[in-house]
Amino acid sequence: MPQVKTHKLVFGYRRRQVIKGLTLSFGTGVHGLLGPNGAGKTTLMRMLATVNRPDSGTLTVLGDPLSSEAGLRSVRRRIGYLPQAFGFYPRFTVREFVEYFAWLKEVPRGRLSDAVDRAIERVGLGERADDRLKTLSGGMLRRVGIAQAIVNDPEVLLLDEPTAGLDPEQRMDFRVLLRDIGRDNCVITSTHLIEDVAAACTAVTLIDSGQSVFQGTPAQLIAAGDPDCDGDTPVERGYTSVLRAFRAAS
Amino acid sequence: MSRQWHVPEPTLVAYAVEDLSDVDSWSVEAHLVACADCRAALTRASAGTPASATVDLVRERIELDLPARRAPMGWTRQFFLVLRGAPGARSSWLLALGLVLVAASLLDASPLSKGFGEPGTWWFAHGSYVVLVAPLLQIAGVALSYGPWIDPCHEMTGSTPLGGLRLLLIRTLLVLVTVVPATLVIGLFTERGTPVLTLLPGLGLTSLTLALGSVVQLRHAALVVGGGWLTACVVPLLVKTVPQVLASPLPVVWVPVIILSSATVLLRRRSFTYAPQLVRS
Repeated sequence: MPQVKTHKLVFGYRRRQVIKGLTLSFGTGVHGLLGPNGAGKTTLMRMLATVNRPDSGTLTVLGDPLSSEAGLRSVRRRIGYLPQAFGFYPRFTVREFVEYFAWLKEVPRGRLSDAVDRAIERVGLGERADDRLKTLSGGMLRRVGIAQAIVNDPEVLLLDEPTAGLDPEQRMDFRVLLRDIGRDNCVITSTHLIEDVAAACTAVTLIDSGQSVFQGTPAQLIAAGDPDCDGDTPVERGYTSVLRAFRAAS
Repeated sequence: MSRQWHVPEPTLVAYAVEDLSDVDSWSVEAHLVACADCRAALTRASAGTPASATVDLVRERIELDLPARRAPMGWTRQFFLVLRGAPGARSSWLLALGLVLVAASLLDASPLSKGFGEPGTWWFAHGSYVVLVAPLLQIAGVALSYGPWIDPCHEMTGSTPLGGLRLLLIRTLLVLVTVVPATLVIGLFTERGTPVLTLLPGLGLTSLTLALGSVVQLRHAALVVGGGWLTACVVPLLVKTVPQVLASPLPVVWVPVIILSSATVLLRRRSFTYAPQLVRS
C-alpha cells in the first residue's frame, strides 16, 4: 500500500483554485515532483505535509485519512517536511535548532540527543554543530533544514526545492542521502532541476496548473520524449513532450 | 514455546572450555540458538574462561569504533530551548516588558494618578496603572509569540505534532510565566493594586484573545481585545473617574469570561490545526 495517496484533491486560495482534482499515489522510493512555475507544487507539498487542509477530496498519509485529531498527530510524528521558504531562528546553533524540532516532533527524550547528532552528521554539518545559524551560508542552512526534516527518521519525507542553494558537490552528497532514505521510506522532492530527477529519483510525478500530467519512472518519461521537442537531455525532452501533449489535449 | 529440556550445567561448562566432542557441540549450539535461558546459563558458566575473555575483548574493540552515546537532554536545557523558540521571548520583548511596568509604577507614584481619587479613597492609596497594562502585556506577548507573521518557522511547526494549538498554549504559558510574577513583585514593593486585581483581567483577556483567535487571525484578535480593554479603562480616566475594572476584581465578570473563552478554544481547537492560522496565503 502506498504511503501517500490523494484522491480528487482540490485546494484554492480565496477564489483562485490551485489544485484541481489531483489523484496521485506515492510509495516507497524517491519521487521527483516536477512542474512549471505556478503548477501548484508548493501548495501540494503543503497539503501532503498536513500544513494546509484540502478544500475537498481525500488525502491518506501512512494509511490514515487524517480525519481525527489523534490520527493527524500520529501521522505528523512520522513525517518530515522542509518548506520552500525555509525560516530559522538566527541565534540558535545548528544543534539547538535540530533539537527544537526533535522536541516538536515528540522524539522520545532518551533518544533525542543521539537522533539529533545523527541527523546533523547525515547532512555533513558535524563540524558546525555548535555554530549559530546566522553564521552559516545559504547552502549550509538548507542542510540544517534537511537535518530537522529527517531528525525523527520519517517514513514520509517531503522536501520542497531542497537543492536550491547547494553547490554541485553538495547536490551529489544530497542525492546519496535521498537514495539512502528512499530505500525503505517514501521521499517526495519537488524540484526545478530536471537532471536531479534523472539522477536521484525512482519515480516522477509531473503536474501542470493543478492537474496530474504524468506519473511513472524516469525511464518512462524519457521514453515519452519526442526527438523533435526542445531540451538538451533525454529527460528534458520527455518533460517538454509530455507537458506539450497535455496542454494540447486540455 | 516452553522447553522441557535444558543443557545440563556441566555440559555447558565443557562447551565453554572447548572440552566437548564436535557432535555434542553442534547439538548444544542448535539448542542455544533456540533457547534464551541456556544462552544466559552459558554466559554464567563461561565466566573466567578464555572464551569469555575473547568476547570481552571483541566488545571493547567494537565499542571503540561506535560513536559515544550521549546523555539524554536535561530538563533545564529543554526548557530554555522552548523558551528561546518563542519569538516573543526575545530580549527585546523582555526589555519592553520591564520598561512598561516601570513606567506604570512611576505613574502610580506621580500626583497625576492620585488626582483621580479623593484623599482617603481606595484608589488614592492603592490604585495602580500596572493593573491596566499587565493584561495588555500578556495579550501582546501571546500575539508576538505565534503566527506566520512573527514566527519564521511557523510553516515547519505546522507539520509537527506539537504545532498548532499545543505550541500556542505552551508559548502563552511562557508569556504568563514572565509577566505575572513581574507584576506581582512590583505590587509587593509599591503596595499598590492587589494580586487578584492584576491576575483576573489578565487571564480573562488572554483567554478571550485565544478564543477570538480561533475565528480571526491571532494578531487581529489581540488588537480587538487590547483595544477594547484600553477603551474601557482610558475613557473613564479621561473624564477623571476611576473605571470599575481597575478598582474592583469583579470575579462575576472575569470568571465566566475565562470559562467561556477556554471552552471556546477547546471546542474550536481544530481551527488551529490548519491554515489560515498556519500559513499566510
